[in-house]
Amino acid sequence: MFRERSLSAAGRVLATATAFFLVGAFLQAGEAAARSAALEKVIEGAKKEGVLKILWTEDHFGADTGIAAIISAMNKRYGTNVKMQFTQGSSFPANLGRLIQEYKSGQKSSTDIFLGSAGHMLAGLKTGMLMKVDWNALVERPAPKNADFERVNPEGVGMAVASRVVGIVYNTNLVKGADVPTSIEDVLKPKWKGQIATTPYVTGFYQLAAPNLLGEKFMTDYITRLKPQIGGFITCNSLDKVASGEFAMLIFDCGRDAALRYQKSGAPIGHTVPKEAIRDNVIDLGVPANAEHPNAGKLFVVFQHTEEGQELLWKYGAYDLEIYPGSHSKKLIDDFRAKYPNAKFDFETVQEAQAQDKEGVKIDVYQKKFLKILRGK
Amino acid sequence: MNAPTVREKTLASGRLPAWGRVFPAGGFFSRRLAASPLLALALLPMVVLLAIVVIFVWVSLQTGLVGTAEAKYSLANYGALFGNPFVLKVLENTLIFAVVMTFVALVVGLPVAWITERTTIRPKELIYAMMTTGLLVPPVFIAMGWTFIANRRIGLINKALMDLFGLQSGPVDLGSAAGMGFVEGLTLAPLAFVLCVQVFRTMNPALEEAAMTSGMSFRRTLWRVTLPLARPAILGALIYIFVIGLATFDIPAVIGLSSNVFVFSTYVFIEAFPSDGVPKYGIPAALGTAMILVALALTLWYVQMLRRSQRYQVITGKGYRARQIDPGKWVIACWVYIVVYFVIGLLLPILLVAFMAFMPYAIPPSIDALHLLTLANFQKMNWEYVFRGLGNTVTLMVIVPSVVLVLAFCISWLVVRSRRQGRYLLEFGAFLPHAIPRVVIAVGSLLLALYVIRNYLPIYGTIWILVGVYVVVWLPFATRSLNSSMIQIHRELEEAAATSGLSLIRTVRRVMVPLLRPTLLSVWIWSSLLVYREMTVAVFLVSQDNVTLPAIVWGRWTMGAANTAAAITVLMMVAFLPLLLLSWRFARRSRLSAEL
Repeated sequence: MFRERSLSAAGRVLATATAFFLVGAFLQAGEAAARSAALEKVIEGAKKEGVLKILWTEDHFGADTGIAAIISAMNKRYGTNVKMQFTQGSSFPANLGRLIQEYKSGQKSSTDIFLGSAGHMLAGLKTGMLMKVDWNALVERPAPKNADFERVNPEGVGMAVASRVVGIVYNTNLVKGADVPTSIEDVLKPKWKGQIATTPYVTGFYQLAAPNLLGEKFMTDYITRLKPQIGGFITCNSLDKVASGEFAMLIFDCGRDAALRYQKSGAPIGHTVPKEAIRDNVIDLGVPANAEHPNAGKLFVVFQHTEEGQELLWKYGAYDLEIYPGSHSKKLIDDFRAKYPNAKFDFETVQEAQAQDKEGVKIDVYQKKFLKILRGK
Repeated sequence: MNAPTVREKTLASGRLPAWGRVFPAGGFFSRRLAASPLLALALLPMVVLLAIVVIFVWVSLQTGLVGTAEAKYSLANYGALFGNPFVLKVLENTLIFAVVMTFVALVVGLPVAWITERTTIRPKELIYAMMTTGLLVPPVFIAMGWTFIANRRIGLINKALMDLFGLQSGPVDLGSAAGMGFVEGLTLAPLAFVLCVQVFRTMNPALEEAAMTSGMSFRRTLWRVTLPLARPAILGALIYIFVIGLATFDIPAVIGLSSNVFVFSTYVFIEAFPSDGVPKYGIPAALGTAMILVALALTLWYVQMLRRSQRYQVITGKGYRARQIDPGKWVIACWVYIVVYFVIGLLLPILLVAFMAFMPYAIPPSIDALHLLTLANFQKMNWEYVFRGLGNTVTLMVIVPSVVLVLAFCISWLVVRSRRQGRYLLEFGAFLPHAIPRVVIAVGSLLLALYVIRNYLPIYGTIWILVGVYVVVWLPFATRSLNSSMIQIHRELEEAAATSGLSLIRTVRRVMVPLLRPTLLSVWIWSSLLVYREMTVAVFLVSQDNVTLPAIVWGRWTMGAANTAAAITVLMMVAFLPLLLLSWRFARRSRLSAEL
């Protein structure tokens, strides 16, 4: 009797497992069928390449830890066995300069994927350094309707993968209560003289100088007043120098994500967005034209647009793409817009950078001008 | 009339093998020698260096991205040297940095060398160990530690002074050219020590003894006799260190970049890895060309000083001991001086780096912070990356010293065994890499690999570009060491071997190598350790496949992961401690320190 019952139970378990397996296999087959032939070709190419070389900027995507987890999920999804070869690179602009140099001298690229913001991707387009790809033919998730911006960059030089709100980072032990800046004017208080850091590429300032935001005249005046406050220059992610108290604040950062990642380690780091302007700095991924493993690079970009990819981006990078429904970034931006209804607002995308370029808005000239004022160079 | 030598007799008999006639009394650049593979090998690194310098000068004459159609020939870069206030500021900072650095290095190194060699202080081995350890610790670690000691806002010293005197901000400014020069001087004090030890060890004591016998006080003897005798050698050491200071990268990079204080090397760095646009090598190359000329002039002066200083040396034989002074109660002061330097110049910065390695985020050192101690930085380490860096570093530590030894052996043999004036040219050529700023060599080789030899020798981004550059960079050190040792081996031993029919290879293997073994081993180990600590060249040439451990530390540090950088630093120090211990043993045995 017992034996019969046991067999029966075992049979039920087996039947259930078989059913799950069949349903799973069916769903997977359906998902695979949903993939375009172009994507299948990229997957096959990535399988053959087997490696993804990454020369990375700061700790975006959670650096090596986060990227390893993302690649692992990507391998599981596409049945690939791509291995990560991570090397710490420099800032966006410094990496860009290096990659352009490699491209122009006919060398293989140091990386299979390039991470950058709008201006960097535009430079990649102009110099031919970035590969032109029909991303819409590869990405599994359809483009959302009525999105705030186009996710594929002009001429297919990469895709937007995340967006982050730019602001001021501060040390919560040194900057408390009413001292927490709500305006860019707040950092000009005499008590902060020599205690403010900015980036060596003066990010934030030259973008705000665009005519649709605060304008060149306003920003030139502001930077001239800011200069005595500046005690040093650190990259967007060198928040260890803010956490240690070496600097009380960093104006501007490249996005709120870095502060969130630091906070996870328990560091006394806070982030605030000034009321004058809300800048949503969109970051993009592209594949260098001279990449050694272009298919692995493309697949990595494509994976970021899956729901799973976006969740992992939020988990490790503290950002996701605002245009997708239910994204964390969308909610954050809506909150800020509600808080500062009079603030100027801007999505910084490659399309916008290209339009400014065509209209003769010389963002790079602003940058050089502000560098001259702040760094004397 | 002198009796004929073995060589003369053998030459007369016509039995000397071909290789034995490589060094005829008159014919350094004879046809036979020119065809010698030894000369070809000896000249190889010099040709590489020359190519690098030519590239640098070529780049200095262009504007736009070199190697592309955008590049245009122009003298504008040289014009910018005089008209660009930023470049002038860079020059000013470089000068201040180099002067302060040299001063601090000598203020520490010179007295300790004197104490060690001219007093009865014991144990001398301990002083040697304390001083040479500093020479082998990568300066980037010291710089990282010093940011926590003397940073204007969070440094221990400034915080203490602010608390004590109620100051609003710290009075010590590490982020100035002088501040960086001070830290660099501390890291180069061991080099000053090593250079000066030799002076005091071999200086003729007769004049000092005569002065003391004539009733001169110790202080007057020191000022009127000892220091004037040592002056040429001290001046030589001063020039040697000053030349290093003109192009040092590590400490100005760690401390100066965030303070917006640039010296020559960091200026070249920000132009090679700019924040706005593609790399701009033109003005740095023009500045570098000017620096090469300055460094060359200083090096010629240094060689002159070195020769002059040798006039005051005595040839030491077995049992020779220069008279040593009993410091009496001053021995305590001597030890305090040495220990204070060891603690603030080496131990404290290293301890602070170790503290950082066990903290979850960057936090100034304090007792309160100890409750945050964690192993997280080690647990989340990307071991594939670290092991790749370790693999490349170890590969370089094995290959580079081996190649350096072979080339240095060829050069030294030609220099020491030849009697023609041309040998000085070869000797100077071997010393040239010391005169050319390392940052110039790094950028020059980068451009050479990117634009000139890319189709014939694709070494960009490979470990071989680092091998080539490191070999050139450490050739002067190895050649000078081998010259000193080889000169003590009488040439008749080689002549006897040749007469006995031994081939060149067998003579080297059976005669020269056994006699030179302690020096060869010591030079190999020291070169290996110098490779281990090298960062300047690596930072400019590093890529996916040739990344080294110091470059990983640098990358993490500059990208906001100071704690991970500190954790890797701790691992590096633990991993290479045995090699350091080995170097002490061989350095003492071969008296390498005397030959630097």
